[in-house]
Amino acid sequence: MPGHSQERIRWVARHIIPAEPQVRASLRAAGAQLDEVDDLVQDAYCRFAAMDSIDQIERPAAYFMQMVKNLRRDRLRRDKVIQFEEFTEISAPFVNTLGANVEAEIGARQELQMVDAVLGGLPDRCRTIFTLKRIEGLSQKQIAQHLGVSETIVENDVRKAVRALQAALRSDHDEKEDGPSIAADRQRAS
Amino acid sequence: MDSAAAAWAARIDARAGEPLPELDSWLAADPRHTGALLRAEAILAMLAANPDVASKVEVGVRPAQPFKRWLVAGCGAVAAMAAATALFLATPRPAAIYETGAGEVQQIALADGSAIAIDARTHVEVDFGGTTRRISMTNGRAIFRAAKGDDRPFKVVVGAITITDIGTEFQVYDDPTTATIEVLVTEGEVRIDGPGQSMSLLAGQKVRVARSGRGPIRSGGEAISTREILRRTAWREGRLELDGDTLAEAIAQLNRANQVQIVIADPSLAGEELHGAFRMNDPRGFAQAVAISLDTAITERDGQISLGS
Repeated sequence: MPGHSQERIRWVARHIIPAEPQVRASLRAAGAQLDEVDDLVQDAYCRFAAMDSIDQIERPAAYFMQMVKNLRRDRLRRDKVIQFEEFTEISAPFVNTLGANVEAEIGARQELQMVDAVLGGLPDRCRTIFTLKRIEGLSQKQIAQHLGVSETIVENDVRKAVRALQAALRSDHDEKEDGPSIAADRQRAS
Repeated sequence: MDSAAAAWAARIDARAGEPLPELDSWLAADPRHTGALLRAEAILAMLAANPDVASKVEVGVRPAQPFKRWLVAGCGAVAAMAAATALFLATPRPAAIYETGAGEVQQIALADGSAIAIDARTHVEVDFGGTTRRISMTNGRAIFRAAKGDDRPFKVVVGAITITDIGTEFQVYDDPTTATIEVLVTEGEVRIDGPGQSMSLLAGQKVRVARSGRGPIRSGGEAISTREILRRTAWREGRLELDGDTLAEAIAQLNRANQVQIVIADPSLAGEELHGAFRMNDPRGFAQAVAISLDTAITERDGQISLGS
């Protein structure tokens, strides 16, 4: 069976992806550069992929946050870039975010709205494909037959939708500092 | 990488259950690919999830007190009270007394703009009524940040020792088990006076002196690394910083700070060295992380967490 186990994928979809914007925002608030944020988040997903079991992780979002925090501290130490005057600043934003469960819950709701916003921003056919997937539970093959298009077209539309949400997860926090993101605007409008 | 991962997620979804030999070679090409694929597959699962089911998504963060910088407190009402004290007690009465209990860290904002972070089980008295800004302390640990622009000297008195601030931040640890006082300067400079002797201590230095003031106060402090300073002051962020400390040592620190106690059921685990940062007030989170990294089990009963059972 190619790919990761359904159990692991569902767990990541439910607990980790919704926490990602918050984790990224915390890293940014702690002074991490964009490419560093990407690397750390990437690293965390590798660890989630490699874990034998995720059963013991009771609070996955907090665990995720802790993990990137540790990864970053290890890197900073390795790079010896901690300046003396910085030392009180380094992990405060992480601690703040870990404690703020209200924010986390709002984050999860925003995340669902983000899914809606991403799907809403896709071309009609692509949106129809996901409606059939979500509501009817059809496979890509069945969808292709239903719509009378090739399976390659369906697969390509699915890929585009994944790309769109990947981009939304990355861009959300980048724009927060300068102004509201497009996704957030859509949420308010809807 | 994200783009390729998205394509693979779509392909796997299209060919449900069929073997995909090229996928294996893509995954083998770079260790990061497996994480990227997991993320892409999970994103697809999110997009494809039935919205009625998806609306029940919860984020696994337990209710907790709101946090302020420096102010990472213990549990429940005590923490809320500590927060209130820190935020509203801007003008302490002469000789205001602050006392912290187990697992409680307080941040005190003083009238002159100075600040004190007080660790668990520490007694601090602030008397700013006279010609000096005088703070006396017994037991425990605190970090002092003296505001500049006030002509009165800022003095911390512990036993027979007086530490006078010269525009700076420093930590004082009154260790009752050894009857010694450890002073660690994180910024600026302080002067330490005992009976008949005196020394100055600069940023990045620490010194340990007898509480009684007897015995020599060395002429210079011991230089310590930034990393070590981070570790030694991590408590005010509510963090337990481990860098090769053993599991037994880490648990001793956590148990001092918390009501919930951790015990090691499997003695062979006690010497395991740990690295990483944990929340001081989250013994469960710590135990879970340890259980995962040491590949062992945890059980909890009657406020006691057992590791390696």
